[in-house]
Amino acid sequence: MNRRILLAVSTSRYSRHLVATAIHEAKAFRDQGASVVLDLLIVQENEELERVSQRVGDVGFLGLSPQKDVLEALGEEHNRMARRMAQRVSEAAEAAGFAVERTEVRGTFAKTVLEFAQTKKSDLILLTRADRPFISRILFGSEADTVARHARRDGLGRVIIDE
Amino acid sequence: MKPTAAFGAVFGPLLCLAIHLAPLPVGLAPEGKSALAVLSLCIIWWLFSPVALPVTSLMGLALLPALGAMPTAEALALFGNPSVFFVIGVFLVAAVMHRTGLSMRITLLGLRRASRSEDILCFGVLGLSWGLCSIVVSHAVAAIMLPIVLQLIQALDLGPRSRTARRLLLSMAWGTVAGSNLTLLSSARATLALDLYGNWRENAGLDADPIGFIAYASGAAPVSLCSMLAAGLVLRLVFPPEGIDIAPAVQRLNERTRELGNMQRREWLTLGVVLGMVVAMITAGPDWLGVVALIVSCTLFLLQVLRWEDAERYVNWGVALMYGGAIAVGGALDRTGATTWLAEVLLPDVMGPWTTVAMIMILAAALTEVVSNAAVIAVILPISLPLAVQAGLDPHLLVFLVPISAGFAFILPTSTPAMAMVFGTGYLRVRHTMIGGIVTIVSWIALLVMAAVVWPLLGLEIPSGVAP
Repeated sequence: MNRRILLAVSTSRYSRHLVATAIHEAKAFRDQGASVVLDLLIVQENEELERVSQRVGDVGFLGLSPQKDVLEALGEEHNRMARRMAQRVSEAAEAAGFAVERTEVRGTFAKTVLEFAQTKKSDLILLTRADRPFISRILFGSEADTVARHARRDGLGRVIIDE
Repeated sequence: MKPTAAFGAVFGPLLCLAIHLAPLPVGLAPEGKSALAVLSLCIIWWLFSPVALPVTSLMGLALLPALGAMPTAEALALFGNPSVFFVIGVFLVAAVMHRTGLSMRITLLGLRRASRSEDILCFGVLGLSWGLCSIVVSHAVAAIMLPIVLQLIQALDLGPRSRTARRLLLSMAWGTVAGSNLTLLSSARATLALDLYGNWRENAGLDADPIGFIAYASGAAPVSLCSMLAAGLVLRLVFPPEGIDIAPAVQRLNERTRELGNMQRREWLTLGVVLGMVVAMITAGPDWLGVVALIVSCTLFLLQVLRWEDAERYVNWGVALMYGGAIAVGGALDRTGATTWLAEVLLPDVMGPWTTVAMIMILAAALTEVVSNAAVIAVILPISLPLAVQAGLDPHLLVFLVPISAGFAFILPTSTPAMAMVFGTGYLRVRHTMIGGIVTIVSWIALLVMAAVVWPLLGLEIPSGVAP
């Protein structure tokens, strides 16, 4: 029996505990006799970066050229962080004897994770909340909760939100 | 549209309409009530941003005659203000410094000198970000510095939880935030304040009281320096060095400097023109600031160090609309007597001068965390001027107090583009920048000490006792 675990991360949604939980769950599947694949999905939340760049223009009144410079600098740094995260996850997973399939996608977190889980028919989706103030989460909602809600509605895999 | 923006889009016009249709309060002219209705819409829209900031200003400008606050010609005349042209010049100077690479060269040379230890490098980023703001508008400095700081972080291979990365990023952001209070060239909000103050004096039938480049800098720069030093100290204490070998950062800086090559002719020309501009602004007097800025801008085009395409690529020309509209709305509040009425309603009889000063400072600093600081000036200054008179304060003082306080944006990502940028890197959360509150408090103390001790030497005195 094959089992797929989707570990969804982004620059603002990553924790060592999340990786440890993913490996723990993978071991549980393996103990049940399943062959486990760990899908590492790195979501580059470009909308957020574009918002920052747009703010440079809208509030700072700088033109398109400085806005582009800021966007590129932030994008480059986020790419580096993604590579770093992937390396950490691969090392931890391989040490525990699991294969990791890595995918990088640009987009909004919830939508990207749900589409990916549907395509890969993930049995388990693991993610963590963005490190945001509680009040902001109450006012503007949580992407992690959106994933959990839609996954339940659409009959996708079980969702674990690492708090 | 985000839910908050949608809320603002609906609530702004509703509030405006409600005020416009409300019974006329005692002591307020119908024109004043209309001006307050326009102001309410502008405040809500500037706060929730259902449209770009300049669009809100334009809407305010259009509503002034539409709601009967003032005749069309008079409202539109307020838009064509000398300050708007000064601001255009300020942004063109920032554009040419960025375009020619001169600001990048200055930054790289400064940072190479500072690359001796982790500590000195962080102080170097802070000091350079702050110092560059003396001639380049602070938002542009942040946009120039961010890629350099991120390259340093990459060269040092710092992780998302690195103290040094956080310190470097906050040094850049807080350096520009503190630097935005240095001179009239550091941000456009001081110019806006000068203009609203000039309009207010004119409407009140008072003699003109122009404040020049040096007069403003001598009042504001010491406070800015204190903010910068406090920021450096707080960052040093909260994010102490990690003992990183900074050799890779030095190597990266050397590579970048080599890539720039020798100083080009256009950089020399830019340097000459910008230095000439500063000298001219110091010597020409306050009334000529806008003219000097325009002549300098045209000279940059004439010398071909700046082309019109560059001006379009490096400047968001909405800035002229934003400031023109904000000045018009602020001016209308004065002319219709709305601000005087508001001050009488808002100010309790027992409030003394120092309480008034503290209230204005806290209000400006709090608002600037969530709304554009130009909008903060446009809203707070016209109301504060009659408040100051009522409290027995020299209104001249507010030209310093309000824009400087509105520059203390050390905490939230919504406060300035520089803070949004460093939050956008993913290294920082609000819990890390809450310590900016300490910098704000130190800056307030510096501002109060300046107001009580130094500014009286410049002829600005806060009288003691309760307002008459």
